[in-house]
Amino acid sequence: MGKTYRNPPVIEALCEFRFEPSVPWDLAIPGLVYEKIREGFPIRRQAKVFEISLAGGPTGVEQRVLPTDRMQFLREDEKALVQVDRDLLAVNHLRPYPTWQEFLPLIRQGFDAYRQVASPKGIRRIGLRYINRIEIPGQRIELEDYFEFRPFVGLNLPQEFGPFIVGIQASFESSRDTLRLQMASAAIEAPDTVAFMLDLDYHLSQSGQVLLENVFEWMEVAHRHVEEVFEACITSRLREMFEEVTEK
Amino acid sequence: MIYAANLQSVPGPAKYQQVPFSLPRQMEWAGRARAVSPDIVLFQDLVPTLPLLAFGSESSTVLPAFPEAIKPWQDPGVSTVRSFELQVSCIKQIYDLRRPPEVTDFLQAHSFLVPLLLEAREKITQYFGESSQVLLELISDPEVQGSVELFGYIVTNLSSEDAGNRLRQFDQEWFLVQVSRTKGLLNFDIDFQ
Repeated sequence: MGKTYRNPPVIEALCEFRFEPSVPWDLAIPGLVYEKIREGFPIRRQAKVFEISLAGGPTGVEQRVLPTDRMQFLREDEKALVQVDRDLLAVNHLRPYPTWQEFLPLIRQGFDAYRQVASPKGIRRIGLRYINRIEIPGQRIELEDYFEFRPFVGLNLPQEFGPFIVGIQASFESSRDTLRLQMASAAIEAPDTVAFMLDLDYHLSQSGQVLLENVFEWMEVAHRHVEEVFEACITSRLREMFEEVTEK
Repeated sequence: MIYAANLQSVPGPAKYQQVPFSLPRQMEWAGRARAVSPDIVLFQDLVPTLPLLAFGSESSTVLPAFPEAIKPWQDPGVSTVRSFELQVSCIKQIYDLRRPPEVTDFLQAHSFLVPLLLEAREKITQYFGESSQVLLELISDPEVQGSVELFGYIVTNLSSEDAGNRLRQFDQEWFLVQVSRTKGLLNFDIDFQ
């Protein structure tokens, strides 16, 4: 059981499934999924989203941003939503993030509905991702006071710096899974603060390594690793700012 | 090692500035968006092509050869937060923003305007030509307290008659069809150079 915080920094938690289809995509699927989950997710919305892809172009490799529409089914408070697209299901929870015990049933609800409607053949990718926004009072801070995961800047380099980004990919569960860990400075929203984004994206490395029946076993393992890594990224000083809740 | 917020190149409280893994600053528009499903109404001709984003990749001959090293750090995936950041980044690239922090705050509060603005930009190009520019500005109504509307001023060197005709055509054929989506918070007008 991980730690629970009174002020958790999570601004978005999400679970993403990309499926191996058994039949060609049926355009009725999003609507049928909605019928199964509409009690919990009554608001229906078509959202513009972007997908990034890389392709060869006349001037070399180009990055393309493809706008596409995706069906979103939102909870009444619009803090949780289910997204359905071609062979894709995602369940997102925005701030305030509750607990894993409360988020997991939402994932299960979306997954069960999609599975019943679309009958996918298998799983190509599962991802569990937590995006944290961490705000710290002050205009200049010592990163090592707050973070165990941070850029390393050698002593012969300038020791005071501005915007940065640092990221790693690490393997878990005998290379079955990958965690993409990324930290970057972020936009400031309040005066006399600094802000950082800490993004933990744990996902299946290889298609077909998890059976549909075993998805929630994978999920528990993923969540445990995400929690461990998150805790390993921060110092006790930051933990104090998040205000740990201890049950007595 | 000290992280200093004042070393950020763009000061101010803008919510969507200085996220280093958002998009690069240059954008070209090319090709047609792919169709996904009849449920899905894609932007016509709205496929931004971006040069690779990497730290200093513009002059590097090596970095573009390793796109796989760059993509994982930028892809918003299915994150709604990241996706919104990306959309706002696109808007900043295809529009000129007057007082950008105010405009981005407004867009965050009224996020339904974001896809509409992306669609509108392509339509404006269609009606006013490739060289058209659009300035986004928040305008307050002095007679109604708290009434604020986002205006897109189409900057053109066309004659007033020609520009007026094109604006009427833009309104009749596209904007008036979309006007219910604006919830009274977005409008377009001409700004003569």
